[in-house]
Amino acid sequence: MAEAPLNSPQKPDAFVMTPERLRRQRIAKFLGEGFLLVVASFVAIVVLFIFYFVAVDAIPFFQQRGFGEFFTSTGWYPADEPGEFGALAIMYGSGMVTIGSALIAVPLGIAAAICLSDVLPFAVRQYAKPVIEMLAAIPSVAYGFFALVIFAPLLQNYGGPLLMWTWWLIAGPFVFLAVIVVSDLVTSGSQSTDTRKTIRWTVTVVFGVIALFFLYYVGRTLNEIQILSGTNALNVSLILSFMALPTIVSVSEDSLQAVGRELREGSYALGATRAETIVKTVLPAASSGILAAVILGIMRAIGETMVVWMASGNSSHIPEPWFNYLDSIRTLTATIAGDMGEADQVTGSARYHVLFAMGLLLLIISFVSNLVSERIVVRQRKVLAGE
Amino acid sequence: MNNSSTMNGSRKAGRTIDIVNRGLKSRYRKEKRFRLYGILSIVASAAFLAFLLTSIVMNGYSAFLQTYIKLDVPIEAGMIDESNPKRSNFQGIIKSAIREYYPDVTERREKRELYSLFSSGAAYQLRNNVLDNPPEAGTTLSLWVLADDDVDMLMKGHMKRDVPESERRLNDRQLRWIEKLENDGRIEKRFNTTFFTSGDSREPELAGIWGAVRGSFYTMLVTLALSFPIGIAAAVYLEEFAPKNLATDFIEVNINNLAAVPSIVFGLLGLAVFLNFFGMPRSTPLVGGIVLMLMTLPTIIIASRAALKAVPPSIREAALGVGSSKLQVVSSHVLPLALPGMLTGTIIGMAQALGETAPLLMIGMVAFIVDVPGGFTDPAAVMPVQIYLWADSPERAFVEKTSAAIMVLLGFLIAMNALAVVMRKKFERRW
Repeated sequence: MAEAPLNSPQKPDAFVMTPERLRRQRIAKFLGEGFLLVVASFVAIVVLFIFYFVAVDAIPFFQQRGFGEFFTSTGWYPADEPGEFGALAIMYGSGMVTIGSALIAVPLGIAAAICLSDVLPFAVRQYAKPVIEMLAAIPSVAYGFFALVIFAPLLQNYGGPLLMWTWWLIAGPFVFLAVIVVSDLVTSGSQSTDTRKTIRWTVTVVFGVIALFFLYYVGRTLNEIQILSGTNALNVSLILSFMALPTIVSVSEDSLQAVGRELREGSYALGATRAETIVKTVLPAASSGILAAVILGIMRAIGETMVVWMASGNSSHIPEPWFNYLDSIRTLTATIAGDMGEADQVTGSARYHVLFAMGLLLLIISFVSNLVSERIVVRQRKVLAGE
Repeated sequence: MNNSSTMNGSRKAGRTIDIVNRGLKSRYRKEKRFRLYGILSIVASAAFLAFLLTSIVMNGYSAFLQTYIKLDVPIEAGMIDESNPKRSNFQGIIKSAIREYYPDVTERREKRELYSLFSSGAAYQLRNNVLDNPPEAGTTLSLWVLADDDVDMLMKGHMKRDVPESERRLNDRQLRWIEKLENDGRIEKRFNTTFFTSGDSREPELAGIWGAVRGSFYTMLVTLALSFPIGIAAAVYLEEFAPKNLATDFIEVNINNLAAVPSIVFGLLGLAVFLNFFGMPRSTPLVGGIVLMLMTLPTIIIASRAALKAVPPSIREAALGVGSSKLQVVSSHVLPLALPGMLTGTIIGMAQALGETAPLLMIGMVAFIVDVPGGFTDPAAVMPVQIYLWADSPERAFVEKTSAAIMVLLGFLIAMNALAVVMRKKFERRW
């Protein structure tokens, strides 16, 4: 293609930059880059835009009602005349499901991330990873349907036994581990090998029996619990934890991978087993990235709407007692989704603006935690790069 | 540690290897336990996923079949309005056909119960049939008409026949009528085409997902048309042109911020800005598409930047070396090479948008819409919102409809994600 003008004697200046051409190229460059800059800053502007418009609609609420009621009262009667707009119970509900889902998702997610990045051989990993990613691909409304139609009745009908089995499965191994460790500690002082063995055995057996009774007693108490409604904080927490899992796993895995081979090999060379390498070397090095993963995962749980709206029971009160996960709750996102339909008819009232106030609260929480997690990741990268 | 040192004191052999060997067994045990925890966590996620999917499939597969009843409709002179067949009383014709089949039902209440076994859509079926090929008077049309959702549930075994009458939605008399149909071989389950071809309805047997599929399609078109060019342009700027300064940092931080915004807040934005401020039409694919565009942008930008980063600098340097401008380098060398990666990111972003519900609730897409939307400004439902609406309906028949709709939606999502994976595998280049 380029040969024709090269060989033709009529156009010797095909590759010469005349001032005219130079100018044209500079204009094209200016226009092109300018256009791209405008488009790229559109994204930044959108964020400011969101913030501005949500705030503009949230401020009238605080002007009308002040801050006190919103943050300290639990009375939520927006439809009354005059309404009450105490969002404390709603914020508490959001916090409750968030903590509940974090309690399940964080240990599970970190264990899965370690397993994916360091434990499983590549052949298995290839199949295990899509399973986790699949959890992210399922739409939230499908989780909501599952929570409402399948899991809630299950919890309501077989709640007690389910809780008991979970207790045995989760607490059982830990308690027995504790028994072994404690009896080891208790008997470590004695000198003679033979007597030590017998003492150790008896102590282990005694502790074991006590532990069994403890497990059985708690299990039986759990078994007798009657769950009045399957749409409660426990249900939502469990489903949310599986929704947050992919985020936690993929971000922590990236952060574990970012810890270079040098550290791992150094640890192996000193004779550490794989478990010791991971727990004592890799995890501390990756800890900040894992923290960022946890923050991002928690954000998913706070911001999730459909599952909580469909399956949390939507009653705005602080459960009695405060840690009762079997009670129904209401969250910020669910309130926005649920109340907007009616509130929008009366645009301009406190009832409409209070929902924007909640949106603003969510927005601020998400921005702050995003910035924090980003700062953490950047710092980890710098530390690992040896700066 | 404590143990071994005290024991070394009593014995003479104090070689390091002995100390190591003594601890080895428990260390290996710990190693095994550690691996077990990791594997258990993955097994737990897999088990949850399997439970979720199987329960949805078990609930939903029966919705692909629908109970039909064979009805002989005698057409007599005067029944069909010759001048304007559309105006004929099709409901009446169906009812007289039913009465003919059950001659012993005479009482008013019984008749009403009898008619309720047949879907109200039966008249439309007859209407369509008559309009397509007008029958002559005196002939008998043999028609498979839709059964009511209660009959459907009974035939699918979701309603038990042997429970007390008060706990059933069909009474003993109605069961006897159905038995008569069964004995005559006039009732059977057939593939449920209604589910795939019609819009929403209050009657479960008439409700379909086609309206929602079309709504989703238009919404996705809007989202794609807006987010693909914007996302790619932004990624190209940030990766190829952006100087390292505060403004660029600001843009980058905000892309991540945008990704972190809870989805419901996008709905608030859509409501406050597009509906209340700009006065755009409520519950339309246009507004839904714009809102979802904002949500998919970060995904597309992040994936596109990764794709651009993967193009090695040697390509750029070679192009610059033969005299192309920066813009030419990007447009004719870097972009084509990065395009598969960008498309992959776009598909994944689109899949996210397709499954999103919450923001669309805020812009009025929860409205009950029967008509199949024909354009970007028609009121429409989208698939996930349709699922949400059905999940809230009390009828048992909607549970299987909801599950089936979820299966269809999941099918789309999995297909899109699989396409992304295949594309990544196919076009991935090792430099």
